[in-house]
Amino acid sequence: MKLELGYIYIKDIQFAEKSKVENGTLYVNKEEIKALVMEDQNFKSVEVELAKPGDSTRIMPVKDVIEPRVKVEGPGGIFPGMVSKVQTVGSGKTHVLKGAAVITTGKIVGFQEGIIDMTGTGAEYTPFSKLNNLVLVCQPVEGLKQHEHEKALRFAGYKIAIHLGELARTLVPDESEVFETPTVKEGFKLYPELPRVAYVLMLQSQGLMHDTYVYGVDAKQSLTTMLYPTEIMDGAIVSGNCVSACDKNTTYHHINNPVIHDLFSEHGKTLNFVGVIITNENVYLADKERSSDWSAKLAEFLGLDGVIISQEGFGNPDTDLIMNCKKIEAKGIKTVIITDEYAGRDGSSQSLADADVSANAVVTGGNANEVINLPALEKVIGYTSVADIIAGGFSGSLHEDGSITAELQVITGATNEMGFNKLSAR
Amino acid sequence: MIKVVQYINQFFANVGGEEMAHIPAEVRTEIVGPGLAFQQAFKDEAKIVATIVCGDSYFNENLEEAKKTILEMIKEYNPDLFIAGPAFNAGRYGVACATIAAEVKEQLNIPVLTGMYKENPGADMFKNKVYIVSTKNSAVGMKDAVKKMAPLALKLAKGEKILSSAEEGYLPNGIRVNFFEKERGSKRAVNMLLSKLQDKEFETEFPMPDFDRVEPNKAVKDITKAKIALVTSGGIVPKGNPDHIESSSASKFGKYDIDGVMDLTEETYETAHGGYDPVYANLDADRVLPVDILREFEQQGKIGSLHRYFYTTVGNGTAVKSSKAFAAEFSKELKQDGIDAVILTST
Amino acid sequence: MKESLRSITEQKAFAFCSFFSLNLIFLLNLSIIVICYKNLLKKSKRKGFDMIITNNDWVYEKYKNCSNHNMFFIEGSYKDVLIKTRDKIHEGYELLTHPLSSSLKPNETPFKSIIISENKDKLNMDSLIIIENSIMSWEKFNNEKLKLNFTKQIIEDFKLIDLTVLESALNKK
Repeated sequence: MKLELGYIYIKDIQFAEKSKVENGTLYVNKEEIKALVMEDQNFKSVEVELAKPGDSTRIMPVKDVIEPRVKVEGPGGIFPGMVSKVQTVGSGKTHVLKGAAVITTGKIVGFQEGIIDMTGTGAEYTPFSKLNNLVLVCQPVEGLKQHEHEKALRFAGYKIAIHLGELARTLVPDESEVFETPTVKEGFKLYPELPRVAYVLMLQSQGLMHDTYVYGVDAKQSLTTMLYPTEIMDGAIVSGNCVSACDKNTTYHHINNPVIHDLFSEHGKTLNFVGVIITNENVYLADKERSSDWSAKLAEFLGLDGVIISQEGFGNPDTDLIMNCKKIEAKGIKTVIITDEYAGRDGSSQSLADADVSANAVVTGGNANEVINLPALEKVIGYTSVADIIAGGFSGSLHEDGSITAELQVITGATNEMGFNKLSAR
Repeated sequence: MIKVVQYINQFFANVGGEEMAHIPAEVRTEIVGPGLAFQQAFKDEAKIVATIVCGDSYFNENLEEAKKTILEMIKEYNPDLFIAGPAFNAGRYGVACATIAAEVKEQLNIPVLTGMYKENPGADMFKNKVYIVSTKNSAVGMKDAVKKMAPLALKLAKGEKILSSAEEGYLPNGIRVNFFEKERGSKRAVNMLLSKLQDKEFETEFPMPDFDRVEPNKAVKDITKAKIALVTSGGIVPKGNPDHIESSSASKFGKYDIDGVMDLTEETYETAHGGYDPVYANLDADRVLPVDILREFEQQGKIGSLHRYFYTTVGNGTAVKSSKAFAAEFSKELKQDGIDAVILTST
Repeated sequence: MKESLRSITEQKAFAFCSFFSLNLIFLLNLSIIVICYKNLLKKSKRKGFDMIITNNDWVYEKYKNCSNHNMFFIEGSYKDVLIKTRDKIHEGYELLTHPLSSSLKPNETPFKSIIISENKDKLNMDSLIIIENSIMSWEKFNNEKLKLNFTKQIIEDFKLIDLTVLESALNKK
């Protein structure tokens, strides 16, 4: 399967009369966006704001971040099974508004997740401070149930991202990149000498605000299975996960999965990137056993020599991670796992909730308990008063001057377990 | 001007090698051994005002006295910083450096620093108590060691923030510190996997907690017919320690014949172990290596027989790697000799 | 059908004082061959009859009258739920869900629901390791006391998340 991504670099975002992309600037008609969001009657009102790199702006609480893309050639559409039809994606040509993003915010539940600072200390810990963001602040109608609110907000994000993506349909990309995965048979012929490597992508799947969808299917309900890496580049996997900010994978993370990109960089040179095995992180222990048994089974079935395993979330996913690692190693397949840590504020506690001697190759996204100080910023998009309740926040963490003292946990994407960031720990 | 006191052993002070390891602690005011390299690295930010030279055997065998004496010596100079070593892979030297560094830190409340190879037993024992810079495994790595130790030492003396172990060069001490790598995590993961696939060395970013579980073997079916061998890390050796097994950080094991020996006595056996008070073991080595009891059992038919050879080493501060190597070697002989079970005594 | 057959076989077994299987049963008007209800009197894990240990009254209210689940309600903290679960595991019950469910940390949410097996057996090592690690995790997080002031709404939101995560686990069965 072969996909060509055409990048249209976005260096600025502005409100304008007409929505379009011109000379690297994304122009957005505010009313148009509002009208689109308000098509969903679950919303009472919506505000649309801009947040650009370097702005003295804080966005909180953040629910999801989505990148605008559009399918220009080939079967299917972006976010198959969710917004577009279920047809298999991942081939043909897709245009990307690189440097832009749609951010959704909303008070679904009282404990709020996610801060993105566009400047200052906080900006160093999130990749989203480098993007030109369109922020949606949606108010639900009175009495809307939390799960309906979550769903409405989730779809609002996709809808706007697709709407903006459309603006790129007829443009000529600034740069293109081609990604191709051969079939198993072709792969053996093309790269007989190269080690066969796959990516085991673990998806959060535990219930409200902890879900992930693959072609519209709740990952909770899915058996461990396989995808071509390029399917994910067309939005086959989307996030319904809002907890916890630092190590949940936003839809942006999924569609820009860094392990996939970095494996492709080596594909055909030092390794044969065979494909992606997706597996879930259910709470039921028997499900964990089944899912990890299947990861190991598929890895062996594919004749793999090595895998990279990434996880999502805190606590019980550590058990899935270790199960996947142990069982795959037991098949004689080498593993590297990517995780983050909760080593306590002083860094001296046991970082993971589970461990095994076979997990001898670990990449870490850092200690999420580290306490940092976020300066007061001029503008806050969203709701400030909830800083106290945000995961990692604590009483007194919102200071009178507007600055925040909290754990790294509160920053969206700070300790990402796909290895999106450069943060690490030793 | 930061005042520094340094601790080195008899070898690095050019006093002598193993044969001079018994010398007690003494103070030198002139720059000695590695002090020269350190002073050059410190430039005019710090000055080594005194160097303590002490024999490794003396330190390890007279722990309390040595610590007390050396502490008094150091106090006199009222230093702002204390550095010890680097000890590379010399086990007793490493233990001495780390022990004295920890003592100084606790008693004098000044910043301390030492350096040694990661497998040095002193590292495992003290890396969570004092900063230990990771060095190469021999004095060939002196230049590299000073390059890492000097700047970190100055930082400690000035009270500056100490970054992660990967950035500063010290052995991971159980405190996780965040920092930004040059490459993103996914790239580091791909590189790590490639190294692992190519059987190249790689370093994990998070070492799993050490479990080191050993699966017990099946129980002996009939003990009355079993051939039992004695193995000890308690250091029991024939009187005079003919093979000179070291009192700590042993570099060898001994194999001795007890054919016809029914009992270990004060005249015939002793302990070489430097890690416990030897009086009672020297009076009657059976207390550590129960030859007499096993001979009784042999006569009473409670066991099949006691093997004629016993294997011994000193477990005190001996590297895990060395212990594993010894055991791998003599276990082969035990198997060849048809041993059914081993009684392993330690202290 | 299953219920009536079972009572018949139990009576027969009782009468004969036998533990072994009944191979054939003929009912009056219907010939039904029932094959091998092996070891009927021996305790067996009956699917769907597990136990929910919880301190979340929303969970209690929802499942208290449910015949498929037994309920053990604890008037106490998250930690109390973990401790009770551990005690049960020591008795020989098996852990069915992971105690650290949801990414909410043990020092954020006050509510926890865990499912264990209905019947006990020999000590399950895996269950023990998981619950002990979970308790260690709770202790690690609660080392630093967070003085959080929760409004009624937020308390309810935590209850909701705990309930929905539990529901997700149960709905799959």
